[in-house]
This record gives sequence, C-alpha cells and structure tokens, in this order.
Amino acid sequence: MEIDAVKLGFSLVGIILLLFLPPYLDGIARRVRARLQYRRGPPLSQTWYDLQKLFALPSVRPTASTIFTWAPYLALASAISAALLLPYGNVIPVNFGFNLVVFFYVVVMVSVFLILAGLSVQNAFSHIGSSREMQIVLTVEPLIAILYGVLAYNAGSLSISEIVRNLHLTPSVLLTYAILAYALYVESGFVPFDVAEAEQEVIGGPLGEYSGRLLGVFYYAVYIKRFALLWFFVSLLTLPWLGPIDTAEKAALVLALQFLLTIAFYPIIAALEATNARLRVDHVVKMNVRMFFAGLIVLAMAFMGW
Amino acid sequence: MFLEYALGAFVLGGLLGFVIDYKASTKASSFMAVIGSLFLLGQVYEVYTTGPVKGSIFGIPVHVDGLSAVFLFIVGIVSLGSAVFSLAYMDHHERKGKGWVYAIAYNTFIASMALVVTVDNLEYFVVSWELMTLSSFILIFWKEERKDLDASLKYYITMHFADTIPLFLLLGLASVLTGSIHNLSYSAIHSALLTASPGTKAVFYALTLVVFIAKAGVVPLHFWLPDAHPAAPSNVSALLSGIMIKTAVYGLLRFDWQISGQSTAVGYIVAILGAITLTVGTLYALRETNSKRLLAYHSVGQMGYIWLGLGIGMVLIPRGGTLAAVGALGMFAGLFHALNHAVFKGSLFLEAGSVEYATGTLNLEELGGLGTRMKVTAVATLFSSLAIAGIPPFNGFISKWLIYVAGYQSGNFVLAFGAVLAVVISAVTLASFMKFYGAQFGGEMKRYEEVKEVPAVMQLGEWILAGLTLFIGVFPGFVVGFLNKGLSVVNGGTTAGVTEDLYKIGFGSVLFSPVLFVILLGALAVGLYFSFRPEYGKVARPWDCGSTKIDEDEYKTLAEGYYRWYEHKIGSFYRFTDWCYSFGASIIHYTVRAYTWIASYFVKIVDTPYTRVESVSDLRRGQLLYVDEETFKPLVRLLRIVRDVLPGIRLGTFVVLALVVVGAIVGILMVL
Repeated sequence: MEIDAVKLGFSLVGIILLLFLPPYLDGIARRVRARLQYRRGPPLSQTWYDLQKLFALPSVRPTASTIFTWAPYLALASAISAALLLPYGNVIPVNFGFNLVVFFYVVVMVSVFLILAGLSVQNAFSHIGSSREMQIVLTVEPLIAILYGVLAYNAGSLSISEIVRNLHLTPSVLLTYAILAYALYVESGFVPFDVAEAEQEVIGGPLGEYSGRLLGVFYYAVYIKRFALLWFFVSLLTLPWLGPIDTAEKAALVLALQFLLTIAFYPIIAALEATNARLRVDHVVKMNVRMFFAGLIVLAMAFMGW
Repeated sequence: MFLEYALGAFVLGGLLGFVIDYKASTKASSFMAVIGSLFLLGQVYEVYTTGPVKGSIFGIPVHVDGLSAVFLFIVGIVSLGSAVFSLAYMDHHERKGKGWVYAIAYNTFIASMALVVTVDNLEYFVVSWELMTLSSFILIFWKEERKDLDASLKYYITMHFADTIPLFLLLGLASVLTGSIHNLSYSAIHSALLTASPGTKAVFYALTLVVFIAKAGVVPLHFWLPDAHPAAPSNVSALLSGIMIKTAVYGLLRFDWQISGQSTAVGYIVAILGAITLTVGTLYALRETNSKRLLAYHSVGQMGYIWLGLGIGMVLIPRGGTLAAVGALGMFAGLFHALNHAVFKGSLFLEAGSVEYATGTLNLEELGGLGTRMKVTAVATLFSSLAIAGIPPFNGFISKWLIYVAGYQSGNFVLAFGAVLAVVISAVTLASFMKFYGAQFGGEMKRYEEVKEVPAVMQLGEWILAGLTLFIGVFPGFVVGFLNKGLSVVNGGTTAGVTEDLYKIGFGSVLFSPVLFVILLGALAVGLYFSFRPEYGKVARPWDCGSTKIDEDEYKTLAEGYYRWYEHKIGSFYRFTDWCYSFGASIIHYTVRAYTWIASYFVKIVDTPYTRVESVSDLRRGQLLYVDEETFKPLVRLLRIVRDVLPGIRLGTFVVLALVVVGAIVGILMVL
C-alpha cells in the first residue's frame, strides 16, 4: 500500500506540473526575451493572466462546423494525454503505451486537430496556416523516424523503459540527441519555425478565426505540448545514465533534476527565439530535408556499432 | 456449407439482372449480393468456431482454412458494405443503361474472389483468377466513357502479360512436377516442390511473384492501378481496392510461403519492393487532386506497407530464435494491415462515391463546404481518413505500429530502413488525407448549399466499414486470434507472440492500450468541454482582410497548392520516378508493338489490306480476318464465283468449256 501511495504522490506531482508549469515556462521565455531586448518584461504569471482573460471572453462564430468547436478541446485532451504518458521520477501517471511511436503520435494529434480546425473555416489564411503546419509535421517526422531507428537498434526495443535500461553511449547516440533536440524544437513551433501561426504573414494561420475561450483552450494545448516535448527530451537525456531508480528518495531527486533541467532549458530556447527571425516555409522544408539526410548517416553509424 | 449458399446467391443475383428495368435489376442484384456476402461471413464464423472446412461445391474442391477465412472475411465484409451502398448508389448511373451487364459482372466478381481464396487446387485457382480479372475488366469498362477506355485496356493487357501467361506457365510447371495435369492440389504441389531442384523452385518463385506483383499493384507493375480503379463506379472501386488487390497477398502467403517453403531471398525481394512501393505510391498520391485517383495511389502505397510487413516476416522467420518472433510479428502485422486496409479503403471509396452522387464531381479543386451539408458522410470520411493516416485509436494505427515495431527491432539495416520509410510515409499519408478531408468537407461554400445528404442505405454501407475502423482500433484483441490462426496455417503452426488482451496489444514490452487511451482522451475532451463550455458571442463571416471583390467560394487554398513547397523540395524524387515511369511506359509500348506486329501476320484488315498496325486501337478500326478464315477464304471465294457465274453461262460457252476439259484430259492421257 505504501508503494501505491508513493506512486499516487508522484503522479499527482506530475499532473500538477503538466497543468500549471507550462504557462509559467512561457512566462520565463517572455521575461528572458525582454531582458535580451533591454526591456523589463512582464511578470512570470503574465501568460496565466492572458489565458484567464481569454477564457472569460465569448468567441466569435465564423462557421457552423462542429469540428471548429470541438477541435480545441480534442487538441488539449491529446496534449494532456501525451504529458500523462511521461515519467515523473519513475512514475508514469497513465501508462497506456510507454513507447516512442505512441508518444509521438499522441503529440502529432495536437497538430492534427489544429490542422482540421484551420480547414473547417472558409478562410484562405487559415488554410495556408494548416498546410504549413502539415508541412512541418511532414518534414519533422522523418527525423523522428530515424531516431526511433537509432534508439531501437541501440537498446533493442522501442519501449522507452527498455531504452532507459539498455541504452549504451556511442557517438551515434550523442548525434541522435542533437537531432532529437532539433526535431523537438521545430515540432514545438518556436521561432524561427513558427511559420504556421505567423501573425504578421497569415494572421494567425489555423488560429486566425479563433477568439475568446476557444482560442484560450488552443493556446493552453500548445503550451502543454511544448512542455511535454521538452520533458520528454529531458527524461531521455537523464534517465538512461542514472542507473535503476528503486527508492522513493532517488525518484524524488530525479524528479527534481527533470524539473530543474526543464526550467534551465527554457531560457536557452527563449534566447534562440529572441535572436532569430522567422524562416520562410520553403527554408524550413529545405533545412529539415537536409537534416533527414544527415540523420540517415547517423542511422548507418548506429548499425555499424559506432 | 455456407459458401455454397453464397455462390448460389451470387448466381441468382446475376440472373436477376435480366429483369428489364434498370433500377429493378441493379437493386435486385445488389440485394442478392448482400445476402451472398452475409453467407460468406457466416462461413467465416463457422471456420473460426469449428475449424477448417473441406469439401466440394458444384464439383469445385474447396478448403477453407484459417488463412482462407481471413481473406474470406475481407471479401465478405467489403462486399457487404459495397452491396448495401449499391442499393441506392447505382441509380446515379441510370442513364448508362446496361443494368444487366452490371448485375452479372458485379456478382461474378464477388463470387470469383471468394473462390480464389478458398479453392484447393491450382486449376480452379487459375480459372477463378481469370474470371476475377475478366469480370473486373467488364466493370472497369462498364461506364464506356472515352477517357476510361485506355485505362481498362491497359488493365486488361497488363493482366494478360503479367498474370495469364505466367499462370498458364505455372500450370505447366506444376503438372510436370506432380506428373499429371489432374493432380494439381496444393498439397501435391507442395510435396513435389520439397524434392524439386533449386532451379525449378526459382522458376516457381519467379512466375508466382510476377503474378502477384502485377495484381497487387506493387512497383514496378503498379501503373495500371491508378487509372483503372477510378474508372469503375465507386462501389466497384471499393471492391477493387478493398478486396481484389488483397487476393495477391493471399497468393503470396499461400504460394510463396506455404506451398514453396521458406526462402529468405524472396523475403528480401518482398520487403524491398514493399518499401519502394509504399514510398512511390504515397508520394504520388500527395500530388493528386482527383479524389478517386488519390485513393487509388494510396492503395498502391498501402499495399507497400503490407508487403513490407510480410517481407520482414519472410526474412526473419527462417533465422529462428528471438528474430523469428520479430519476424512472425511482422508477418502478423502485414496480414493485419491487409484486413485494415480493406476496411478503410473500401469505406473511403464509398464516401468518394457519395460525394460524387451528391455533387456530381470528384475534383478536389472544386469541392468544399460539404461538412455541414453531409454530416454523416463527413464523419465517416474523417474516421476512415484518420485510420489510413495511422492516427490512434483507429485500426490503421495498430497494424502500422506493429509493422514499425517489427522493422525497428529486426536489427537488420535493410528492414529498419524500410521501417524508417514507413514512418516517414505515414506522415505523408496524413498530409494527403488532411487534404482529402479538408478539400471536400472543410469550409462553407455557396455553390453546394443545396446539396443533400445521400440516401440512408448508402450511409449504412459507409458506416458498416467506417464503424469497423474504430471498433478494430479500440478492440484489436478481437481479431488477433483470428489472424493468428491464419498465420499458423502458412507458418507450420507458429503464431506471432502478440500480447492478446481485451485492453492491450503489443509485443514484449512494447505495449499500447487503445481502450485506456480512448477512455482517457474521451474523458478529458468531454470533461474539458463541459467544464469550459464554448460561449459564442456573435456570428461573423470569416475575415478576408476587408476585401470586397473576392468570390467567397474561391476564398480557400486549392487542393493542388496545399503542399507545394514540400513537393517542390522533393522534386528530384518525382523527376526520377517520372523518368522510370516513361522508361517503363516505352517498354510496354514496344511490347505492345511487338505483339501487334505478330498479330498482324495472323490478321488481315479487310477493307485496306496493307494498313500499318501499330497499336491495339488500330486493330479495332477495320473489319478483321483471322488466320483460319484466311485459309478457307480462297475456296469460299471460288464457290461464290461458281454460284454467281454458273446460272448465266450460255450453251456455246458451255460446249467450248467442255471441249477444252475433254481435250485436256485426252492430252494428259496421251502424255502418260
């Protein structure tokens, strides 16, 4: 019974983290960006205030489509499901399939609902945004496919718990971390890869017709998705090298490490965002295609045992 | 035996076609097809519960074992959906007439496919296979539209060269092997092949592979498929893509694995062809803007997934140990994907047919805004689209995912690279179907404001299949045992070690629980919806930046422009494959030239004797004389002359002629 209580405690911490941390992370990013631009910047909770405001406002209805209404909720549900599949310490809150493919597909579902939402209205800008989002998924997925290959060959399984147990350090694994970081950064849609929602170009892309509470739900989903991807990266970066986590104390330390690393990565992301301008969509596609071919070399290296 | 009743129903359905009235004949024959499909499913249930059935129907030896049952299920379920759909859909083609042709061909087509997967003898296999080709050709040709003429001819000629000829050679080979043309049962061929020389075996592999590559639409013999499938009426396209190309998968497992024995080399061929096919087919589908052509190219692509899965199995199973377990998983996943593909592709073709029925077009550039007009069809399309794109919790996800697991864990670079391609192409499939769904059902268009939802039977037909995509996706445990029975038949009793559980599926420690996922996602979405209910303030038209001159129907992205940058960046791929395509096309062109050159020696074009014959259409133009007619022609001509000339001869002429003849005879006698 005691173990169950511990598990429950870790799950609860995980759920609190995934629900409340993401907007604060965005707050950190805004603060860092402001400081880099010699501004004072908003308070850390500013993103929360924004969400509160949006949740309080009614939405404008541009279409009778049911998908338009449901997509934000489905996207948020997918994002939360993906985050619930991650290890907090050594506990996974809801384990419906702790392996690479399932996790990434659940993450992609956020994009799927975003795309469907954009296509459900009769607005060319929304359509353009949707097709850009899709092209990002199209070109990031190959990178992720390669990383499945390297990790699965190295550890002998696609299951993340097996990977954590069996991964051994080779040059190809180090390169895979680099590709993974790049892929997740693009997938999160940070600047310079925010082509889909580009405000100045396509007036918000798929989100262009959204307003009020529905927009708030979508934003929240995107923040949670970014958090989930970062937490996944941090977990994959740390867990294989820490040995078996068998006691609650060690698990707590690991959780603290994950938490600190997640917070520590955000300023780096913010700095990258602040110092880059948005790429054109063809540049994004080109970069990702090049990365794919670089990735193939990494995969070949992995199979040669390097 | 249920199969007997089923065939009886199909025969009756064909005969009912002779009712004169178009509507009555199509409806009656479709209804009999529904009954027949239900009998087929009954047969599957009988085999599933009580084990293999052996016997003979109308003198044809049949043996319905586990593998046949899997494919008979595919035949039954897709035919059921398609036949229910046809009850109302065929009214759309009323002005074409020829209800009786449709009725006979449609029922024959289903019956022949049911026979292909159940007969126990190579002779009957070849006969049913040819019957299947012929009836499908009639159905593809049925609309007799000028643009479809070439498609159907291309299909028929390809099938002649790549299916009929190798199959008859195979008959010869098998009769030599077993020593008699009357002893061609599968078991006899199997035991004869056990002692055959490697060369003979290689010939056997080559012949069967060519047959199945051509029928499955696997690269390089896929070129007929994207033209032929859209040419048929949509309910028939569902059968073509849903069932007919799966008979090749059946054949591959039956002939190249069970009968011939295991071979790693063939496994590599199958896996590599699969990986190439899935890439080529799907990337071509991405560019399409005609909904049925898009679906047809995806049939090529998805066939690649199936072959990749089977290929992984064929390569790894002979290795033994843990790799054999991974291999069995791959083969299982391939078979599972064949079943899933039949379900969602059948459904997608029916939905494309519904859109055509309601709006009269298949052009994705023109369509749009049907989501609010045809809600039932829209949801069915969304389900099937997500299923083919491999989004959980639909059935396509489960089988694709198992293919990935098998490929990635194979520890083999070729197979792992195949799995990489499979994941990459899965994203392309998703992109293509976002376009497919968005272009038809997204937005709101004035042009289609009057469009009505299709009749209820058509919706029922779509939902029989679309509902299954979700059901199998959430409860894959229901089909695992069924598929494993099929696998054990061809594999000598080995089955895939798939974790079989009501709420879990997976392999070893790689698990997925679709039930839990659906409950979690559903509870979260519904919970969030009701705790933060959407509040709508006012209704407004979509923001068009204040423009006043835009036609609102045109205020959208054209289907062609969705992924332009992506297509542009991988343009070299398209250029390369286009070059391969034109290379292949010229080979085919010259084959046809050679064929007609030979044919022109057996054939004389009557009105203009020295017409140059360069293509098959040249032969269609004039009145023809075949070589046997040519032999007797002089005699016939003489007799005709005699008949015309004799009555008009005068006495004097007759006397002179008689004297000449008598003189000649006397002269000959004197010389002798």
